[in-house]
Amino acid sequence: MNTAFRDVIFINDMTMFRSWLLALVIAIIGSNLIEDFGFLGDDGLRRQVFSPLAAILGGYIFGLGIVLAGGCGSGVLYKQGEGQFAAVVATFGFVISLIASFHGILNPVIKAIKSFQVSLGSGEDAITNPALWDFFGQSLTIKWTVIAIVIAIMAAIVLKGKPFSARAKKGWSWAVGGVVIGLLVIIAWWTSYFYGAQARGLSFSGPTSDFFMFVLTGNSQAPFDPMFDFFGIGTLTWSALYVIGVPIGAYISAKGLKEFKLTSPRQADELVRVFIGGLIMGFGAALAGG
Amino acid sequence: MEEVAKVSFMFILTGLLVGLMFGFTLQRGRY
Repeated sequence: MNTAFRDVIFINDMTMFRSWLLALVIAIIGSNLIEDFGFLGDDGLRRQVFSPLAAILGGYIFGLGIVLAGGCGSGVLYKQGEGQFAAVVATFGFVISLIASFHGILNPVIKAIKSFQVSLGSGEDAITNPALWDFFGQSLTIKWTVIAIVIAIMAAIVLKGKPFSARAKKGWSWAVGGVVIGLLVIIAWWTSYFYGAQARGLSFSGPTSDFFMFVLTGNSQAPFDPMFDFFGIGTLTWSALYVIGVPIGAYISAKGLKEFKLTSPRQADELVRVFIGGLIMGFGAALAGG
Repeated sequence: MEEVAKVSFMFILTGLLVGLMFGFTLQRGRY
């Protein structure tokens, strides 16, 4: 995510932003299809409560943090697999503020800001976690009409100009990467439901907290997600496992491309910058809800 | 939330594989 927005703003390059949008298009269509065909049980996709203040403020703070840290939650995890020590330091800051936000001294602040919620309707029929189409109605026709409009806008941006003229020198093109990420998001929605007992998708703030809480305390202490007994050692969520898979997968890829190299910034102040960036993005992510 | 079950082989395999494939893709795509 950091790369997608950074390239648009700083070097006016839409390539990674197209890839991000393409992944979103595929993920939105696929995830809602498997929900509507009943592959995610009665509860379907887990949608969070609508807290506009927390979403806007958290998103802004998260944006500041990822620029300083040099990557978003999954970004700093995969860059560890390339051997970047700065990503390890950024993750360290990210984890500290995540756990402080979900379980520690920052939690009252998060709860206070998140308490400003917007619901649709009132009483027992109120929708506390509305999707965009809920503002227009409840039928499947309305849902897929809204999705079609959103997808059409996104597709227009993806295909604007000459999207296929820029190709990666090594690795995958933006289109291949976008398609694979979109498909992985759909797969994660189903596997998190089927094996993790909760359709949680492929987020990184909660699961990163789950993984490190499991490592440090033996208990993920996930507030909303089912936890499992891990051979009597402790309890963890399904999502905690993919957090450790990301740097391993990136390491395999980097080795295959002969790009793995242990690196560290020469300037100590850069390590301080990425650490503070990690702290900021952890709080922002927890506040925004993922 | 309460603990619901013991981890299964597929629980561990799918969890690790999803992360592994995602990390692999992020590196290949230069994200």
